[in-house]
Amino acid sequence: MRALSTAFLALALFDMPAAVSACPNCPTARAARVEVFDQDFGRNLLMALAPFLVVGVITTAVYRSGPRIPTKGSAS
Amino acid sequence: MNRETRQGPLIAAGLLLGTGMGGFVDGITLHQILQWHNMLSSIRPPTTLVEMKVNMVWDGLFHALTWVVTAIGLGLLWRVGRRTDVPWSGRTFVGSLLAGWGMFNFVEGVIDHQILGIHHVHPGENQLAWDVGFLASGVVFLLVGYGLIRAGREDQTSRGQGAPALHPAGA
Repeated sequence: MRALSTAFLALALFDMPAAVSACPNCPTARAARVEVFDQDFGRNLLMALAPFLVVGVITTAVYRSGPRIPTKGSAS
Repeated sequence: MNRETRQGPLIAAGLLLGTGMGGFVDGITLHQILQWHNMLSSIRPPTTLVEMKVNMVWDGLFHALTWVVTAIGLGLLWRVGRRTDVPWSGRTFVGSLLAGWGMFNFVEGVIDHQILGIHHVHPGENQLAWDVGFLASGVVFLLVGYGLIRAGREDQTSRGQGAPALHPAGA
């Protein structure tokens, strides 16, 4: 149990520098968030969504009206 | 009475899963490992740390959408496996995966690279050639996938319980 605690503590200490350098709320990160949610956010979102919307429409059409194949041996 | 099977639901599941796989290959390989482009790299070049982080956010959104498409595809595939009117065909499924990947490359290439110009496959010299090559890969995948889907029409055994088939024709 003690060895396990030591291992977790060592892991946390090793991870700390990485968490600090990830910079989740430093000035650079705050500036990036402002840039992401600027006046172009809606347009950028639409542009990112566009290919997926087209794929969704095509897939829905295929699902609803894809090929229907008469089974072999069924009466005509 | 006429009976028939439906390929559509399995093709739809494969198309979505193929789109997801194609999207992840694009995002992981071209955006992250090779770093040829980012989601908005042609309109917001990642030349500063802030712009790099902005592009990372939009790359993340792209991956999130790709994940959603993959999850929906898995859900559809699960439902297909319980149906008796949809043949459980490996050829149809693999063909649909390829067609989905090709459809993604083609649709994403036309919209993002050609129409919107928000990024290009490999910006700089020979940019157009890389973009056209990406579109061409989509067409090739689509054609190969379509061939497999057509071949899969021979397969009629469903995975769901009960005898294969089925809906009365025209129902």
